[in-house]
Amino acid sequence: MVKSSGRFSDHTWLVIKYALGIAAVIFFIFPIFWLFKASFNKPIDAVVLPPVWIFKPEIKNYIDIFVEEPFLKYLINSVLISGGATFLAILIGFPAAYAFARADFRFKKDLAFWILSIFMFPPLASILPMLILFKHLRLVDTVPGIILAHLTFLLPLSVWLLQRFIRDIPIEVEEAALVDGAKTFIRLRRVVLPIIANGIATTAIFCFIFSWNDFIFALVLAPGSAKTLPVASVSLSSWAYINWGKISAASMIITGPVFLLILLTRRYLVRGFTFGLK
Amino acid sequence: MLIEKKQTLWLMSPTVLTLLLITIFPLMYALNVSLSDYSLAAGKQVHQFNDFQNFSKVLTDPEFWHSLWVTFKFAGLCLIFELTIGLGLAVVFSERGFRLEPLSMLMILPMAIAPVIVGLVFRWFYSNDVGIIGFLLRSIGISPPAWSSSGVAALFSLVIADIWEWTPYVFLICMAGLKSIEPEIYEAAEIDGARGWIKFKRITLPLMKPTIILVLLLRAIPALKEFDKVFIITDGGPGIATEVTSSYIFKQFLWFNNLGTATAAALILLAVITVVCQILFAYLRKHEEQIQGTGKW
Repeated sequence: MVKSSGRFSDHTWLVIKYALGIAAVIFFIFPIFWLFKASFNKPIDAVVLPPVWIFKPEIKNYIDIFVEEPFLKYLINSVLISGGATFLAILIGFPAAYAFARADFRFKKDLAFWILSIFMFPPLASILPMLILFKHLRLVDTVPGIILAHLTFLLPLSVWLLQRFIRDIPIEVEEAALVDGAKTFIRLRRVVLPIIANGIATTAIFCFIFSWNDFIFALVLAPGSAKTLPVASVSLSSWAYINWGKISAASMIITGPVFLLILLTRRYLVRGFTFGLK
Repeated sequence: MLIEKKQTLWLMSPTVLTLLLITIFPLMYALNVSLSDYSLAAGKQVHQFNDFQNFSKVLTDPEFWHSLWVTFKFAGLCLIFELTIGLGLAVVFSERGFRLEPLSMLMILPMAIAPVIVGLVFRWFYSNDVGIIGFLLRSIGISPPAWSSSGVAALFSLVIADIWEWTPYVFLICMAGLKSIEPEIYEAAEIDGARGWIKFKRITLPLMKPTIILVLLLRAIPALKEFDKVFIITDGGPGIATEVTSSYIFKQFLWFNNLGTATAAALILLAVITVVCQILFAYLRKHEEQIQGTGKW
């Protein structure tokens, strides 16, 4: 056996690596597991320490947030807002993404980085001005208002991700269509769109997740009837007595769909979370 | 050429117009607001122009500078820990034959969770009576830190939550970077007798440099904008010890109903983030040929 250069033998290193690995897995999984467990506990069992590990799972927390709190309404709001914003981000962003990937024009790179930089705006710098405008337009606390607001970060995301996916299509495919006489928009619909269906689905998933998880936009612009799930779950914690069982159930309702989507798109996780920069 | 000049204009205009409408237009509006007195309740500007009073009010407010300092402290601490831990774990997990590798898919889940939930679960964990952290520490005979009364402990309570949420992100991107390094390079180095630390320093780090810069950029910006977790876990407290700039802005807006000051502060934060971005971007573009997305323009 070859000796390691350090003070430890290869065997010791192996033990250290596995210990670190297991510790990391526990550290990153535990809070999620904890929420999951608590969501099926009786409210009192959810917070008792030392924790109760063996119990009969109950769905009372889930029922409570839908019966005692109007979570169904918030759920519908969230689905409408994230779905609508995602749809618009793809619809508006796709042509631009195509131009970025295939056309050559002046200031192309500057324009692309300007779009990217919008994602980096501190949210309040766009929210507060929007609030005043929305007051005039009567868009405060409405689903269309939040959809519009979410486009400030979804549109840059969709343009950047889509152009990355379009670049993956061999240009020869389109040149062949061009030789056959297909005009740009027909080519877009008949040739590019079918090939890129996967890329669009992936982009849509990421847009949906970013919109779904947003807190501050919804907090300021939709405090009432257009309230989304994240804002609603925070309001659950604003009482002196906090019902952690209910909060856990609400958290699982927000998190569940995201985990499912992440699983669906795991091949493109890196690309999605880095704007296609990697 | 696949696309004619005129078509480019048609293709670009929906995105550009929408973005102008929802960002630049309100921003112009905001400049107008931040340069005048505006109260939401009144719903109208009281004075048309107030000689940059809102900006000077913010820039002379020690609380604003304090919040900027807290923001950079928070972002700096988060980045240092997340980069070190994330890269370290990626090196371990990407090693050939490491059997926990399939679990890495589970490890990246925290970054997909809504920041609000991260905030809530950590607020629960830190709580004195029902928090698991205090319970675990007490059961091994350590008295838990005073999360809510000590400024340093409160800041670290935020940093720990951020580490939990975003180290998986660094880990994921570093894993992808490490996997793209040719194994032959390591094999050649091993033949030359390089091992462990030397291999990491001489091969991994230089080859990972573009990836690390990218991660730095992509983590620095959200960290400087952080609001959600602060709002939920400490709400800037104790006192203003953990009040980041976003919380300062929010407070100006919500408590003092002072939209002018809040917007002015938001614009200053925007300028600060833009400067930081430009520095990192310039650095990134130097390495862009090595980063796929920006390479082939």
